[in-house]
Amino acid sequence: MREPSVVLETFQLSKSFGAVKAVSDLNLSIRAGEVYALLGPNGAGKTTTLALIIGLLHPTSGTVRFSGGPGEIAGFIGVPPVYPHLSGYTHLQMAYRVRGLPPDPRRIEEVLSRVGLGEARHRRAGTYSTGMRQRLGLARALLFRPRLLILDEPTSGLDPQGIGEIRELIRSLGREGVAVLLSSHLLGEVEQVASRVGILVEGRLQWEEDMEALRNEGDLYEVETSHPEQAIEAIAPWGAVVDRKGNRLIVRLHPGVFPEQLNAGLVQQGIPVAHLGRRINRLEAAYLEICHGITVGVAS
Amino acid sequence: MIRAEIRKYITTPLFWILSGIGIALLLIQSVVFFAAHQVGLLSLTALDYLLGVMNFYLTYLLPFLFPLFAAYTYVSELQWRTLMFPFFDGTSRRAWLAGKAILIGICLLLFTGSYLLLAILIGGSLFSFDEIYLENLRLSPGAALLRTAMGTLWMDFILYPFGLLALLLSIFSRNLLVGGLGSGLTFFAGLMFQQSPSNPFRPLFTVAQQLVRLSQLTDASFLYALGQATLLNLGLVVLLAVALSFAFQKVDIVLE
Repeated sequence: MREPSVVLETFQLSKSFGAVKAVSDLNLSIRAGEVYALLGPNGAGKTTTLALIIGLLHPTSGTVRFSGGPGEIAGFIGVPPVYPHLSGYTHLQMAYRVRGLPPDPRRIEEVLSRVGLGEARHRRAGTYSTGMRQRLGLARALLFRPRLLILDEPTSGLDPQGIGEIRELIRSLGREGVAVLLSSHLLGEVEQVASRVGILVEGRLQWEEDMEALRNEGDLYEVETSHPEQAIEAIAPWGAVVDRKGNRLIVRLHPGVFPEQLNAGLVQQGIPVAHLGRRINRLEAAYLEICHGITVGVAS
Repeated sequence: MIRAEIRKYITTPLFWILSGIGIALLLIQSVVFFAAHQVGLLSLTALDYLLGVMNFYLTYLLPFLFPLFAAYTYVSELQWRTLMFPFFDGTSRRAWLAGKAILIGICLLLFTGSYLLLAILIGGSLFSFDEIYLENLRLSPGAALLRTAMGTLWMDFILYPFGLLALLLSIFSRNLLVGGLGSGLTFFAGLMFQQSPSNPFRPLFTVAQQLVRLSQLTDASFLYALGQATLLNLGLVVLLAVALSFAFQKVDIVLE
């Protein structure tokens, strides 16, 4: 199979504000259809990186190469900006006008309903909640079918239902071949939507991994029992023991198996389960270690 | 792009507030003039009234209102954080800035055009349109209206670079008052010392006065002064446009 084309690359990208190095020698490469998540704590340089990519900031050194043409990058940085005195619908009409195109009402309605902003489209955007602004920002971003979508904390301010909808939307955009670069400090979000993840700390890319590989490793669980020898054999229908520390077994569940099934199965066979808990994966371990200096053991 | 810019700013509260300030003062002046005329303190024709209110508006009020509005067209985009839109839309920095420069020019014409129209309507309603004597010059109502319109356009031409200056100051200061007031006060300094031979803006104001008061606008010395002043002002516009373009090209745009 042919590899998807590279949409965005950065080469040794750096940005300093006085003596502070916000981004340092950053090399990124994002392909079509990939959802790349930049993960990192506040102040890690995620937003600065996005601002360098779209050209709001000039790099101190290094370059950005985007394979598309002008106007083929869409998205937002921070809370999506709005003209407070104009309606959501007018925002999208104006997006056409600044490109010298006549507004397409059908397309506008289509993206508004796709992001779930249909009802409020004629209200002044200044009255929108943060979540509604996120939806409007996404609608504007999707209007012209971009090659690269840049999203900075895309689910911040959304209610749980909205978070689910937007995450699904991001996944579907990836499937449609749009390259998505998103920044987040939420591990759970990144795990659910990203196809590749990079951890950025103090402006440096410290860790990068393919999420598919992480997902294939499966979820690991820790089982504590007074009968570990019996348990190792009994566990086989639900998973495989990958490590053992005394009475504690590290188990990788088979795909589609839930931990409660494992628990019920062991108890039914007369094996007492003192503790059953999810073991953190490599992404969580890497994040904790790189961002917070907490070292945790991960069986793999 | 210009259509979108106009749509954005003509609906902002500030555009209407600034227009409203001018119109409110026009109404106050109209009441005062009319009262003075009624009690016999002043004997006014509609053209006297028109020249009076236009002079006040163009030399004392608009030089503050217009740069403030020009600065607002930049600072508001920072405040709303909408300055990131052109970077996503593929609009170059230079093209975006050119859009702002055209926008403020159009809004300047709107500010003065609507004011002049209203002043003509009020003047015609309260006073009679007779011929007017300006020093030794006798002007018919039509000629006087034409001269007033030409004088207004000339003042727009003079004021325009101060809108560009306000944009420039806003780019550096990111502040509405620094941009607007800084530029307005610069204009005022030029106006206050307009009689001084060392004032570089002197030819600009001289032409404005001559446009209204000179008997023969085809006079050779006037045409020379007009050409000189036009070149001076155009030079100022070009200088500021280059400075603006250079500054905006270099600046890092940090959105809070």
